[in-house]
Order: sequence, then C-alpha cells, then structure tokens
Amino acid sequence: MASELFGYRPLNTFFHSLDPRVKFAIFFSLTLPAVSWNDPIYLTALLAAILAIGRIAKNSFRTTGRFLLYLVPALLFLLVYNLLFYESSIVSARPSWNLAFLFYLIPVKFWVCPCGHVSLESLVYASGAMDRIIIIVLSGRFLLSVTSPADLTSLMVKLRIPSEITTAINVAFGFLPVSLAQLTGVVEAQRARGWEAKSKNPVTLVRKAVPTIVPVITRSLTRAEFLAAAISSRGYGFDPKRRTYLREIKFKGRDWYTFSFLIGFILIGQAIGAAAWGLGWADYRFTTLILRHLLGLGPPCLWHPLGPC
Amino acid sequence: MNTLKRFSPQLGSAEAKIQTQGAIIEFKGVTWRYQEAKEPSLKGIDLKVDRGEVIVITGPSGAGKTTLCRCLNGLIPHFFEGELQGDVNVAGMSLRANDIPFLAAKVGLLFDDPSNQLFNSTVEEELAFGPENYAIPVPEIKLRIDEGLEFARLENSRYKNPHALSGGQQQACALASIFTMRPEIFVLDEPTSNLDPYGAQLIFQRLSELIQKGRRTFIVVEHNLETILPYADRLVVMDRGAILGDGKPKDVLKQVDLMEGVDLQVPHATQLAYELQKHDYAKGETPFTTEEAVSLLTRVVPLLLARRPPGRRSDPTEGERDVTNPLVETRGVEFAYPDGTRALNGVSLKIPEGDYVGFIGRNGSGKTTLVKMFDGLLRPTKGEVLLGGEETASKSVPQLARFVGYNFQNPDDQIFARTVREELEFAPKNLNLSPEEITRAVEAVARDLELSKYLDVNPFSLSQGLRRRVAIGSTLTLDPKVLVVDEPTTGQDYSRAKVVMELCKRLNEKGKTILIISHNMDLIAEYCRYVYVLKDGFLLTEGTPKRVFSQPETLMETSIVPPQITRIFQQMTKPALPHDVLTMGEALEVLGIGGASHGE
Repeated sequence: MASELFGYRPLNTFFHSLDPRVKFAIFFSLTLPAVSWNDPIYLTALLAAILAIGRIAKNSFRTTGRFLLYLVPALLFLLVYNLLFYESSIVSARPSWNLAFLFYLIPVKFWVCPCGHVSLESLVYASGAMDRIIIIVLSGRFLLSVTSPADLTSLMVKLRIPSEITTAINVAFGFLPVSLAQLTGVVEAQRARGWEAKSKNPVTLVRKAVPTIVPVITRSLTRAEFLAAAISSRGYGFDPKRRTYLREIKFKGRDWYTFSFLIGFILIGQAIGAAAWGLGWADYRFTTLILRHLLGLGPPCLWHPLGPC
Repeated sequence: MNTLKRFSPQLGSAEAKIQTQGAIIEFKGVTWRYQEAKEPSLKGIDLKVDRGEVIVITGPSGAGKTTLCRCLNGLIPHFFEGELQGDVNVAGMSLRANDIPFLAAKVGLLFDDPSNQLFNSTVEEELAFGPENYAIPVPEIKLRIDEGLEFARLENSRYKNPHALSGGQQQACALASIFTMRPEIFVLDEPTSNLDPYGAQLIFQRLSELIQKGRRTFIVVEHNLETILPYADRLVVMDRGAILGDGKPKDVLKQVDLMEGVDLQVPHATQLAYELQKHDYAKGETPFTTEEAVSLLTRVVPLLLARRPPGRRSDPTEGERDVTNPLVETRGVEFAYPDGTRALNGVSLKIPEGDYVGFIGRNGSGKTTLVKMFDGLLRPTKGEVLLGGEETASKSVPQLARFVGYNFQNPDDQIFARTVREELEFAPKNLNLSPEEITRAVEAVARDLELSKYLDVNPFSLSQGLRRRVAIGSTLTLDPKVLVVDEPTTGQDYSRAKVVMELCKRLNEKGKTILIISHNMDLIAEYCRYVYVLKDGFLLTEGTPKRVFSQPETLMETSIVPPQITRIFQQMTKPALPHDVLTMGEALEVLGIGGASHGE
C-alpha cells in the first residue's frame, strides 16, 4: 500500500528503462525551474508536464491524487503562512501598484483584528508557492517510482562507493515490505489484546507504544540474523572487487537523446524564463495582472508589469 | 580463522565440474555447541554422503537438523559463534579452513522461511545476486536468470517484488536463486514447513524436477516423509544432536522401536504396517506411499476379515450440530482491501458455542481475513458479524477482545513484557479491570496452562513452546468465549503443533469455542468437529471432517489433500473400505485390530 504510493514500482516503461543518471537529470530538470520561477501559470504548465510524465511511467492519476492528500496539511500551512506574512516578508518582488484587497482571514473585530489581510496578489503568490511544493514532491515521487534500489546501487557503484554500503542499501530497500508487514502484524496482535495507543499526553503515548516497539525490535533482530545468514549463503563477500553487476549502467541511445533534451530544456527554459522575467512575464505578478484585467481591477500596464506605465 | 582460504584464481568460478562418484560430504566426529548454549546441538556426528545421493533428514525439534545444514556451507563455524570439534569435508574443502563464500559456491542452502531469505527488490535481482557475488560474467548471469525463472515458473514475475509473491512462489524464487548459483549440493532445510498445501505442492514439484535431472547431491530436512521419501536414497533420523538411524528409507522405517521412540510424524502407511505387524500381518513390509499401503491392505484385509469381524467405529464428530443460537455468526460478509483485492465474497456461517472448528484453504483464500472480522481487527465492507446474537459493527476492538481471544501465528509478535506475569496482565489492564480481578484472572490462567512456576520468569528466556503457551494465556486472561488460533502448526514440527492442539482441546472441554486455522490436515482431522473450506473468498464447502475429507475432488480445487490414512481407505477397491476414515485409531477399529486411542 505505502510502497504503491511512495516506493519503486517495478514496471517496464520508457522511464524505467533509462539510466539512473538520466532519471536524476529529469528530477533536476523539473525541480530547477520550479525553484527559479514563481508564476503559477508557468508552474501549472510544469505540473501538467510532470503528471503527463508520471502517467507514461504508469503512475495512475488516482494514486497520485491519494498521494497528494498526504500533502494537504503542508499545503494548507503554506497557504496560511503566505497569506499572513505576504505583506511583511515580500519586499523586492512586491508589485508597484496597490494590492487588490479581497478579505481578512480573521474578520472579527477584537484587539488587533480584523487581521490577515488577503489580497489578490498574496493569494496568487501563495498558490505559486503551493505549486512549487507539489512539483518538487511529485518529481521526487516520480524519481522513486522509476528508480529501483538496484539502479541506485548501480549508480553508487559507478561513483565507486564500497559494495558493503551499496548492498546494505539495496537490502534495506528490498526488505522494506517485510518490515512493514511485520509492524502491521505486531500492532494487530496487541490490538487483539485490547491495546490502544490513544493519549493526548506525549509521554504516555511513548509509554503506550512499548508493547509494539519491543516485539518489533526483537523480531527485527531475529530477522536480521536470518537475513545476514541468507546473504552470506549466497556467496556475499567472495571477492567484492571482482563482483559483477547485472545492471551495469551505461548510456544507451535513448539515454543520450533524453539527456540532451533535458539539457536543452533546462538551458532554453532558463534563458526564456530570464528574458520573460526581465519583461515581468515569468513572475507571479504577471498572473496577477491577467486576473486583475479579468476582474476589472485595472492593471497599471500589461506590457511590462514590473516597470512604470 | 587466520588460515581461512580467501580468494584465489583457482576458486574464482562457482562453476565446478560435477563428478559422479565418491563421497562429497563427510562429517568426522563433529560436535558443535552454540555460544551460551549449555548442551551441544551436534554430538559426535559421523556421516558420509556420496555424490548424487538424495538424503532425507528427519527428527523432532531440537534434533540438530538445522545445525547440521549450517555446517555444510560454513555458516557454522564462520557465521554462528560456538565451539566446534571434528571437521566436515565438503566437495574436497575443509569446513574449518574455508570461509562461507567458498563453501557456498558448492553448497546451496535453502532455509525454511522464504520471507527471511529474499532481500532484493525484484525476482530478477534475487536470482542474480549469487552469480554476481561469484563474478560470473553478465551474459552468463542473464542466461541463468532465464533458466531460473523457467525452473521456478516465475517468468511472468521477473520484475515483481519477491515479497509480493505467494508463499510457495517465494520459496520457489528462493530455490531458483540457489539454482542460478549452480551448486553441486542442494541443502534444503524444511523447505515446505511455512507453506500452505498449494505452496508445498509447488516446491515438491520443483524439487522432484531437480532431483530427476540427476548429478546433484541433495540433503533435504523434511517432516513430510510421505511426499519426499519416494525420491530418497537414504533416510537419516536425528534426535538430540545425534544420528539414531541412517540407511535406505525402508530399512530405517523398519526399525519400529527407533521410529516410535522419536517423536516423529511417520507416514500413516508405515504406521499402519507397524500395527499390522503387531498382529502378525505384513511381516517385513514397510510401505510409505499411499499406493504401497493400498497394495498391502488389498492382500491383508481379506485375511483379517476371515479371522475376525470388522470393528465398529466410534465417531465423536457425528450427530446434529445445533446452530439455532450460534455464538459466532456471519451473514453475507464481504471484504475488500484498500487496493481493491476482494478477500471475502458473501460468507455466511454459524458456529455454536463449545465447537472446535477448523478453517482450511490456500493462503489468500480468506481464512485469516474472516477470523479477523470476529474481533474487529477488520470490518466487513458488506454483511454482518454477530457474536452471541449481537452485531459487532458498533463495538470496539477492546470490547470484542473480551469475547474473542485472537492468537497470532508467531507468539513473538506480541510478547514484550519483562515477566510472564506482566504479559498475562496486559490484556485485563488494557480493559481497566480491577487489580483483584486481574490477579484472579492471571492466577487462574497460569494454573490452567501450567505456567505458575514461570510467572516471574522473562518470557524471552522460555522455549518456543512455552512462549506460545504464554501468548495463548495472555488472551485467556480476559476469559473470552471464543479462542482463535491462527496457524499454530506453521513452521512447527508435528509434536509441537500437537501440543497446541491438545491445549486447545483441554480449553474446549472447559467450554471455550475453538477456531483453528491450519494447513496440517492430520491435525484438523483429528481434533476439529467441524471444518470450513475457503477458496478465493468463498465458502467452498463445510461439514464434519468426515464429510469434508470425503470430497477429494472438491478439496483438490484448493490443493488440500486429505490425511494419508483417508486416501488409503478411499483408494481401496478390493475389498472396499469406508471412505471417511480420518485417523489411525479409526482405521484400526475398522480393521478390527485396535481401539480408538492410537496416536497419529
């Protein structure tokens, strides 16, 4: 269940077949523009591209949606934070025109309130920030879903990381489903004896968790011994220097094409973005201006929103 | 350890020319004691195995079988710590002088629990791991993977996570991962003890294929002698670290005193011959397959019937089952896991109070999902579960725990406390019972389960059998009406599993309703009064064990094979014998040569 949402999914798609270095390049190509620009229109287009790429890698929209549900608390926090502190924290990227007031977050009159001045500009800025987080997290999820632990191992081998470390990482990934199943088993076994871990007091909560922590640790130690015996029994450590690898990473044609495309995408994208930004187009203020036009709020100048009209 | 052989070009390949003659394994006076153990696990073992032989090793728990296997690939003494005397020569290499990777190149060792030996992310990587370690060139590894996948019938699971496979497939994957190392010797340590009937069947098929190819040497530790002995050249019986019997299977099985002296699950066919021999029939015959036993009975039964009339059978499971006021009831229960997997499809059943019920079927048939509904660990997506006539939907798991005690397969999943007393107090404390009630409950359970002298002992220091008893006891302190025991026989030898079943029988006699999930049909036939057979989330059939095991064709759908004694009687045509005989005692009654008290 959890691995379906977060982990590697062994499939045979175009993206799965790429060299792990190219997969990392895809990740950087998607996240770099996201951290460079904050225009929600541009970021939404980037998000659409990520969803499309994810679909090609057979990540269904449904599971992506379920995955995004886990982000809701973080996104809500980001939204409220940006709405509350937009006016005090945004200085250089502040528009030259007066903000279009929409509403107060806390409209009730008491003490220093009404407070939480929400403007069209702060709302657009906050949605851009949320877009960024979604893009970075989905890019990471995409990377994890198409990159097997063996890919990571191969990459580490290429980087001359000792095989003791690469094998340990590979085994840790491979054993994750068993550990999760074991945890579920232990929790169910204790629940069947009336155990519940509900408490508002954090100290009590930790104390209540002991009946699950102890069996998980003891079972894990036992398993670890069996596992180490199994690994040794398959010739591990015979001659680490001469060890061969089924997956020897090597750039193939598709890797070169994809990598070249990504380099082009990054360079051209950044160049156009920089030029557009110079004109004020790759910025959240550009989106704000369009919205102001649509809402009849009268923008100062559509041609160059950052400069004087 | 200083003289251990490390890598040398001569040993650079796992491939070895397989010779076909001469001893390939030789134990010379081997004694081994694990660090911190009081007694040695192996005591002066002398054993010689010729190339190409198939050796079956059997014996009760603690006999030293697994320890002996560990000696073959160097886990002993190079991985497990302890004291070794004597030496083992494996394929020309001394155990003392060669480290695990050198010995493992010649000896492929398969463990009992598949989940503990699969550690890669895909089946393909699992099969590649061994050859990679031995620096086999990648094109050759790819060839071996293809062969391994074909051998394990896992061609369509190449990129799947091994842990996503069924139990039998997992063990087949583990076997294939050894197969790709091309060892000269296969050592299989109870390869089917953790599997359901389907998984066991799958492994035996793969194993028989391997054996029939010849040339390799096999050491197989197995309790299910009926299935493995037809392939065996020799049978070795171990007990308490020593070899008690070693020879051709029939010669070893002929030693009735030896076989009866060790707590073993001897095939029913062989047991039947022992009993007949006690009455001067079947002298010198030692059948172990169903066919051999049928042939023997076909000759002997007419003589028996001519001398004495057939006995009358007593049937404890016969009689009407009153389900007008069921203690446990399900009505059209359906369940689907969050990923959409449908585990139950409209299961309806009624279990009266005081019943002793067995749930059987393949892994994934819905047995565990169904019984988890009874104590609220899972809730039906459709349908109702009623306990004592009341719906459980509105009741919490702790509330239901007072009604249904649930015991999981592995007692170590729940044991956590510093003393047995604390462990037994855990459930009543969770339900906020008064201190007096808790003390009373703990003392009563400790007395019933003979745990009184262990109350202040750390449960982790107890034997597995005692830990299982503590685990059962810790659910009984809530005095539930129903006790669910999930897979008490998996990974256990017959005698240990029987101890749990006997304990449940005692509790049943005191009024508890017992629900057992098990893959051991001998125990189900012997102890249960009613059986539910599940397949793909449906109730395939139900009835008394006699009724259920009289439907071999129906059971075949879910790979369940009735006890051997039942099959022997079902296959008898001249003269025909009753088809619903379940236990040895009953068989002897039918043949008029014994009472119902015979053990299995």
